[in-house]
Amino acid sequence: MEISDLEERIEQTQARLRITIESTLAKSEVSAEYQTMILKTLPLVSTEKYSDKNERWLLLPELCHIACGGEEAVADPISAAWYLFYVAAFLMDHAEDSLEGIDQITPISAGKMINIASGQFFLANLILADFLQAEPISAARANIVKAFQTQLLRMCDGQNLDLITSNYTLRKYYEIIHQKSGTFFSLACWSGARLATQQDEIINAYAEFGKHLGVLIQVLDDLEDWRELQSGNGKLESTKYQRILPALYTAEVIPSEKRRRFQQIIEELSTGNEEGLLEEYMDIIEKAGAGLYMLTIMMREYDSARLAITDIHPDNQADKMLLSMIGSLLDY
Amino acid sequence: MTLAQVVYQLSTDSEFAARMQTDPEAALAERDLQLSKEEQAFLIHGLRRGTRSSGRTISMQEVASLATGWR
Repeated sequence: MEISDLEERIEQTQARLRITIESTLAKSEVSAEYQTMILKTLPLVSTEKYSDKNERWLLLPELCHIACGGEEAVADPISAAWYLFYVAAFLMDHAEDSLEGIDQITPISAGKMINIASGQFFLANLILADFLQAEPISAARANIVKAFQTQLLRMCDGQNLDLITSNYTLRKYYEIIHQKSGTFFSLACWSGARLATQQDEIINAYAEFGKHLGVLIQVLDDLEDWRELQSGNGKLESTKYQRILPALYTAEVIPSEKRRRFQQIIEELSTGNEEGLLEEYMDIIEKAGAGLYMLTIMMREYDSARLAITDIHPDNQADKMLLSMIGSLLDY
Repeated sequence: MTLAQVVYQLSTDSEFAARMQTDPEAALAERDLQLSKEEQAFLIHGLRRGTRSSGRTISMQEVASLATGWR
């Protein structure tokens, strides 16, 4: 399966989702100005690039649906709703953390960003309401709409845990990323599969695929933070020096006397004092073997995702695309 | 978090790392470390891919270069 095949499918799906999103928004009776603001922050409906997040994930519900015997485009309302939640969560994260990055392209205040994200949440729910009411009434659609609400609540719970946790540990990290990223990506895959089949074993296999994909994405996000630090250009948000996975691993395994020094460095870095400390911070992490740990975790999530669906539908083209999507994350 | 502890020992103790490559179950038992079969398989896989010919384990920079398809 070539990446170009995936890109072609992303473009086709984007075009259909654009219609779903724009037509639902047009029926909503909100002002043209607010419609424009909501649409402008969706990379798929805008030529302006507000987000650096990859668009490939909007294929997840559709590919899981087709892999389980569903037809093309039937899962579009789920894909559109999930994608709106995805972008809204991204905006909320930026509003919560900082506006850097987005501000460089188009200045939007945190208040406006929260309001746009809220609009996207409600627009997603409007799409789900239409999906639920479509004839003929189906138990699968009711299950899916309910799952969106329960799983997104669970994700918010994870975000709350992330915000209120002061003593971040390796165990807490996994708990939080499973609840946030794992739950969210699992929802995309579960709902696509559920729309096509009632077989729990198969639906759960796709949910499992999504869960591991979500965790892998979060781990790769932390690796990206490391790469920025290493390039010398980057500076992390104050809490991240403690909370990125290689640092949490290091704090967990190094002897107590080294740990005290490591924590001192993290405290200094968190206050913005980097004078010679960044190198020491990175050196301690490197010497603790964080490279091997990160590799093992990445392979664990990658292989677990792959194995979850490998034997479900052998030779199925949609499955191959899903495997190709996760394979494209890692050059290994 | 035993997996993390085992990785730390692998990265800081070359004798243990060499033993893990040839007889992982015995190596873990000798250190009184326990991993599930699944974790053990992932770790051995990681160790084989992440150990350079010099015996050095993979660096963070090298791991970061594997994730080229991200963003």
